[in-house]
Amino acid sequence: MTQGQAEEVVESAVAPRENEQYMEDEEEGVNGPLLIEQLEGNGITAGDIRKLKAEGFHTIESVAYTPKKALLAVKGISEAKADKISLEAAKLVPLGFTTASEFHSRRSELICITTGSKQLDTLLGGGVETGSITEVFGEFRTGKSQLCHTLAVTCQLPIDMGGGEGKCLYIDTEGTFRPVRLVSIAQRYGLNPDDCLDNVAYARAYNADHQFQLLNLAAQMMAESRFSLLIVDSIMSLYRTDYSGRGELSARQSHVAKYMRTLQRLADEFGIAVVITNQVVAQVDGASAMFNPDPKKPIGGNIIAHSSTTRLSFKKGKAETRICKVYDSPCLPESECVFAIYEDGIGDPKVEEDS
Amino acid sequence: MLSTGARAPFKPPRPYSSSQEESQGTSSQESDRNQHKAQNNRVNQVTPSDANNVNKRQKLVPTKKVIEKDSKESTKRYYFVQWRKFTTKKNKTWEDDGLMVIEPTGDVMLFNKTETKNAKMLAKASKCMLGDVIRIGSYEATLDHEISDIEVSNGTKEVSSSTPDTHKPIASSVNTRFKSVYPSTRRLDASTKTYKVRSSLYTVSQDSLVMSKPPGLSPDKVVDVVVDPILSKHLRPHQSDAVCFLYDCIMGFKNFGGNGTLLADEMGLGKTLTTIAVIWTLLKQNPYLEVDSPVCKKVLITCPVSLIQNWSKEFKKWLGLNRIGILALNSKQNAADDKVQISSFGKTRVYQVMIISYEKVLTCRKELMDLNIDLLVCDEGHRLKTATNKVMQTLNQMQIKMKILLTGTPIQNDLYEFYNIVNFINPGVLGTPSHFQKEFVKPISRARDMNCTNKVILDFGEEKSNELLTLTRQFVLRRSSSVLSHVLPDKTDIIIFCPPSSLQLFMFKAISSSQAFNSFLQSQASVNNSLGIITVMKKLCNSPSLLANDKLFKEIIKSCQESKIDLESLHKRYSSGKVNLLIPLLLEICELKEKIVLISNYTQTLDLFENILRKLNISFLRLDGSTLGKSRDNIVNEFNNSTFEKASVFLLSAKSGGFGLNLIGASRLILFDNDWNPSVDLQAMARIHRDGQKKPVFIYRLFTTGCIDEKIFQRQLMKQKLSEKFVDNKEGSQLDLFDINDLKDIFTIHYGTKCNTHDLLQCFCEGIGEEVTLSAQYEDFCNEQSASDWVSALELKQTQSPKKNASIRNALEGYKHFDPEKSNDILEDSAINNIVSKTEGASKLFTFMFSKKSTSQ
Repeated sequence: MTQGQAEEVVESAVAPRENEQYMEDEEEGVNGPLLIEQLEGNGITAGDIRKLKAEGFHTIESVAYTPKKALLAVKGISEAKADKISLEAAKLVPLGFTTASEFHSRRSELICITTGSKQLDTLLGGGVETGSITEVFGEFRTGKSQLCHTLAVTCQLPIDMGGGEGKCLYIDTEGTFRPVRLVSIAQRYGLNPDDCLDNVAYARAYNADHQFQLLNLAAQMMAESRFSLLIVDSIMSLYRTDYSGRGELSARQSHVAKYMRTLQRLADEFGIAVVITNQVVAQVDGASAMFNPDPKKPIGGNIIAHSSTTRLSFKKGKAETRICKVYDSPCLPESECVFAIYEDGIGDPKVEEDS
Repeated sequence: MLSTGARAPFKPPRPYSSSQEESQGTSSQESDRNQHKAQNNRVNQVTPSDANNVNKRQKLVPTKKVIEKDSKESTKRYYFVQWRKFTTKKNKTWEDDGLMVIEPTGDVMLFNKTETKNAKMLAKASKCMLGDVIRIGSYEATLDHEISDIEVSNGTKEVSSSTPDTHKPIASSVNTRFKSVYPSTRRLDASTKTYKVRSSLYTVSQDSLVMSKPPGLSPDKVVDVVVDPILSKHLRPHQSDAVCFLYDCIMGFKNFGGNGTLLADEMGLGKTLTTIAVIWTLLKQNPYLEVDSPVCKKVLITCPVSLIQNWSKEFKKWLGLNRIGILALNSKQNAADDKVQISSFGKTRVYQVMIISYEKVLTCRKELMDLNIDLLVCDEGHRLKTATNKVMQTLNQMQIKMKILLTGTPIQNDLYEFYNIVNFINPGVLGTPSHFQKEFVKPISRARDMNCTNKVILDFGEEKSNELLTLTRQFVLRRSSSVLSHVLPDKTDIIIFCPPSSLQLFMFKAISSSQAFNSFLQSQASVNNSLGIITVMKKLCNSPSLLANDKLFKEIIKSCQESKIDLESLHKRYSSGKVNLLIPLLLEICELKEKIVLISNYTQTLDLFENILRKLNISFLRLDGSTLGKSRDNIVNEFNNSTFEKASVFLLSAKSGGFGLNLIGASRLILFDNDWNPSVDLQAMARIHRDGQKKPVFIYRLFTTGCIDEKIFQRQLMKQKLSEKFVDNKEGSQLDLFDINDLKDIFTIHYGTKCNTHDLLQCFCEGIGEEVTLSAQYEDFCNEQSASDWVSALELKQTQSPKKNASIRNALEGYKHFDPEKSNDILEDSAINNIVSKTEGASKLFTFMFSKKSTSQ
C-alpha cells in the first residue's frame, strides 16, 4: 500500500474543490481536454464514468481514441454500453476528415517547448513539439537527462517565452532526477524555484509494469490540472533487465508497444509534449563496424523507432558542448547543431567574445 | 530468537522525550492502513444477509453462495448486472446492463433492462451459484452493485453513494494546480468569476512608464501598455520621451497617416536602448483589450556590419539571453547557412528579432521576401538616402507597415535625401517626388540661393520650410546632445592649424604651377580630374610620403617643368606640418596616461601612424575597412578594457568605423584629416564623447594652415547649417552654397597667414584666448541690407562675402582664439600647454588654435 492510498481519506474532502477550480481554469479559454464527466447523460451513468476513470480514462478524447476492445476490458462495461459511450464521445471529439489547409493552420500555432538552446530550438523547428513523442538517445554523459531537467522548467514558462504554461510529469527509471538542477535552471529564467519544483510531479518507476501503471495515474493527474510535458527518463532501462533473452523478446516488445501507444494517447489527449530518453547498444558485429569505429544504435528496436515522432541522436562534443543530430523526423531536415550544458541548464555554446 | 547481545539488530538511538509519541504514532498509522485495506479490498466477502447494512460502501460481490429456494430471505433484492448469453467463446464480453432480482423465495430472475418497466425477463432460475459469473438459465451475469426498490421503480439509474469510488486519489501535494511561474496578462475577474479581464502586463506604479492610450476608444476597451520596469528604470528622461514618441508614431496614434518614425537624435543619446525598449514593449503588449496577440511578433533590424554585434550585445545587456530570441546574422556563417537561418526565423517562434546587415539584405533578398515582418528598424538609416538604393527598394518590397529609422545625421547633402527617407518610413506623406520638388524644394532652394535678395522669395521659402517642418515634426524626433550635457563629462574641442613644412609648401607650389593643374582650372570640364587633384592635395596635407605611389601626382609632376622633387625618396619624407605636431602631442598625452583615438580617412595615413607609433614605442590597435566583421568587436573590447600600457592608441579609419562604435576607453581623440561631409567627422568625433565616458574629453582637429584642409573645414562649417535648418530648425544663416569661385578658392594656398579661417572671421582679437562673439554685429548688418529691395551691384558684392563668412562665424561662436606667439599658459588643455611651454618657438608647430570647452551643467 502506498502513501498515496493512505492519505486518501484525508484528502478526499479537498479534492472536489481543487477540481472545481480547475474547471474554472478550463473555462478561461485554454483549449484543455474535455473531461469525461461531460459524457454523463444519454444512458451513461456516473457509475459508468467512475468505472472508466478507474481504468485510466479521464477525458472524452481518451475514450474516443481507444478501441472498443479496450473499453470492454473495463470491468462493468457491457458491449451495449461501450457502443453508447463511443457514440457519445464521437459526438464531442472531432474524428472526421479535415482539410490540409486547416490542419496546416492548426500546426502553425503548435506550441513548442524551448530546450534552452536557441540553436537546438531552431534545429527542432521551434523546440520540442507538443502532441508528439520526441525521443532522445545517446551514450551516457551526452546530455539526455540534462535536457530533461531543462525542459522540466521551460515547460512552465508562458507560451510567448517558449514554454507550455503547464506542469511537468517526470517518470524516472534510472534514479538520475536531481531537483537541485531544476533550482539553478529556474534561477536562470528568473522563476521562483519553489514554484518550479511544485510544478514538477515526479515518480520513480521500479519495474516495467510499475512504469506502465504510472501512466494511468498520469492520465488522472493531467485531467485534473494543466500539464504541458511528460518526461520518461530512459524508457527502456527497466525493460532491458525485466525481460531477458530472445524468449521474452516478443513479450517485451508488445509491452513496449503498448507503453508507447499510451504515451501517444496522452500526447493526443492532453496536447502535451512527450519526451523520452533511450539508451544505446553497441553494434559489435556486422559490416557497419568497418566504416564507423564505434557504432551505436538506440535500443527498443523497431517498436520505439516507429512510435516516436522525432528521434534525436546526442553525441559528446568538445568540453561542455554536445552535438544533436536529427535522426528521424517527419519534417525536419537531417542536420546537426551544437549546444552546451551549463550550470543553468542547456544553452547555446558561449562564444569567446561573450566572456 | 537471539535478539540480545552482539547479534541484536541495529537499533537507532532515539531521543528520549519523543520516543513514546512516535511509537504510538506509527502504531496508529499502521492500524489506519489496515482499515483502509479492509475498505478498499474488492474481494471482500459479503453475503446477501450482510447486505442490509446501509452504510456499506463496498461492492457487493458475493462469492460461492448457493441461493436455494427456501433460504431465509425476507425482502426482494435487486442487483445491477451485466449479462450475456451463455457462450463457450474464449474472449467473452458482456452484452448489456440488466437487472437481477432475487425473490424472497430464492427465485432468481434476470431482466434485460435496468428498470422493471418495459423490461423483458430473460431467464429465471430457482437456484443458482453466486460467484464472479452467475449462471441463470442460458444466460450469464455478473453483479455490479445492489440497488434499492425505489430506484428500480423510479427508473433512476443509481444513486452515486451506492457505488464505491474506485479510482485512487493521488497525493494532494503532487496533484496541485499549475502554479503560474510568470506574470500573466490574463486574470480572473473576482467579481463576475466568469468574465476574464486582460490587465496590463506590469503593475502601474509611480515610476512606471505608461504609454499613451489609443485615441478615440473608450477606457474600458484599452489596456495600459507599460514599459518593462527592468528597462524603464534604466531610461533617462529624454529616452523615456523618445520611447513614448516612437510608440505613438508606430501605433499610428498621431494623425499623419503612417506608422513610421525617424529618430534623429544626435550620437550618444542612447538611440539603441530607446529602440530596444520600444521593441520589447511592442513584442509583449497590446493596448487593445479585445486583441490578444502583441503588436509585433517579428522584428527586423538592419544596420551596418560593424554594428550587428553591438546590437545583439545591447539586447543581451538590457534583456538577458532568455527573455528574447535574437538572431544576429554575422558573417561567421556562409551565405547558404544564413538563408536557412532566415527562413527558419520566419517559421519558428524561437527568435523574435533578426539583426542583418544592409549588404545581406541584398544577398538574401528572396528569403526575406517570404518573411512576415511586423516592425523594421533601420539603424544608421541615412544609408537609405537615395531612392535608387537597392537595399531601400528591397525593404520597400517587403511591405513592412511599422518602421523606425535611426540616424544621427538625417540630412547630409540635400532635401531629396530627406524626402527619400521620409517617403520610405511613411509613404505618401510628402506626396510624389515631383509634387515635393514643386512644393518645397524649389521655393526653399530659391530662397537659399546666395544670390537671392528678393524679399518675397525669401519669405515664401521661409514659409515653405516652416510648413515642411511642422509636417515632419510629427514623426521626426531630434534632440541634440545638449540634453545629455549634465551627465556627460566636459568636452573640449581644439582646432589646431599647423604650418605646412617647407617640402609641403614646395610641392604645393609645384602642383599649382603645373600644366595639368592649370589646364584643369581653365577648362572646368573634367570633374573627375578635379576630385583627383583634391585628393592629391589632401594627401599632401597629411604627409608628402603618401604621394610616393600616386599616379595622378606623378602625372602632374611630369608636366611641371621645374620638377626637382625626388620621387624615389619621397616615401621616406613623412614629416609634415601636422605630423610634426602630432608626435609631441601623442607623447604629451601618453605622459598623462590617457588613451587616444587617432582617426584618419586614409588607410595609408594609418600605415604612416603605425610606423610613427612603432618608433615612439607606443602600443596601439587598429580598425579599418579590411578588419573582419567578427574581429572588430574584439578589438573594440580589447581597447576599452585593457590597461593603458597594453593599448594606448586606437587607429581608426573614419569611413569604416566612424559610426556606432563605442570607444569610451579613450578620453582624447585626434582627427587627423577631415571629410567633405561634416557628419562623417561629427560621427567620428562622437566615438569617445558618449554615455559612459567618465573623464573629461579632448578632441583635437588638425589642419594645415592656409591649405585645402582648412578650406574643407570652412566648407563644412557652412554645410552643417543645412541639417540644422531642417532637423533642428535653428535660427541661422539663410545661405550656405558655394559658387564656382569658391571651387577655385579651394585650390588657392594662402601663404604667410596664421589662420585663414581667423582672417575670414574678420576678427581683430589679439589671439590671447578671449572668447569672441562677432555674430551680433553681423546680424545688424544683415538686417540693414535686407531692408531695401534694390541694392547696387557693389553693395551686393559686399553683402555676399560677409554673408558667407558669417555662417563660419556662427559656427565658430563660443570658441576662444589662441595665437601661440602671443599667448602661453592660458590653455585649458595641459597637453598643448606643455608643448607650448616646452618647445622653443611653438609657433613652428602650430600657428593658430581655436578651443571651446563645453562644460556640464
